[in-house]
Amino acid sequence: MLASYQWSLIWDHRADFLQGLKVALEVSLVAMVLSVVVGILLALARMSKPPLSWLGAAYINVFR
Amino acid sequence: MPALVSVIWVYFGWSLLLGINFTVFQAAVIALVALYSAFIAEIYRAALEAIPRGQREAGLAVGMTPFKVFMRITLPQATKIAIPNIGSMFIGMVKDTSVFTIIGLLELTRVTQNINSVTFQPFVLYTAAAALYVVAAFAIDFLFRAIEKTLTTPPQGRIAHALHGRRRRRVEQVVRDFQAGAAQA
Repeated sequence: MLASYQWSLIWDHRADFLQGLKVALEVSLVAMVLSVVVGILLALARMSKPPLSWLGAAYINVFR
Repeated sequence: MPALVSVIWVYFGWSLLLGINFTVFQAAVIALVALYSAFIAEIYRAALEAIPRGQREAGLAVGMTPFKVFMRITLPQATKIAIPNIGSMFIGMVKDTSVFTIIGLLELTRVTQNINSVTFQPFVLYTAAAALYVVAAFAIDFLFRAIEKTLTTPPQGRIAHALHGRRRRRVEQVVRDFQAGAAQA
């Protein structure tokens, strides 16, 4: 039973694993930069005068 | 809204309803931005409200436009406060990419599933995937701690001295002009 664990598979597929990690990091890096920009704009909308602040609050509360 | 619902909504919903077809990469980014910009907005709101009112008033008093006051005074100070929270959001984002398996984005979890479907070694393969996520999270945490440290401590040493040369010379020029004016008066 225990002998059936093939730990060498990890090393054999190292390129695939690292490629997968790279894609995950790329997606989150691009998303991070964009959401900081959008987030600052939303924060400003949220802190401004009523009609605009309601929109900001609505968006934040729906997606959070 | 959970990340899973967000991607399905962007990738399939927008396509069916509005005819907008994104690549899986674009859909993944849009889904993350839609979700996390709300969290980051709250982080930045708290950070911006923590800046004393006098900072903005001082900027306006020396004749800066409101936009310039925001870009040069309020935002940099708020960013310094917001950075640790943004770091933990980033780690959350990296972990949330695993749900993009559902739309076929070839990220770490999807790759692991693909290898598993050929080799049938789930324990071994998912242990490796988990280890990689943990390593990535540690690396990001380390990176953001470094950013936080460089933002909160005054620049020191020869490299910082060189990097801040332009700004330093400008400040020194202002001081010289002021002293020359004071000497004339």
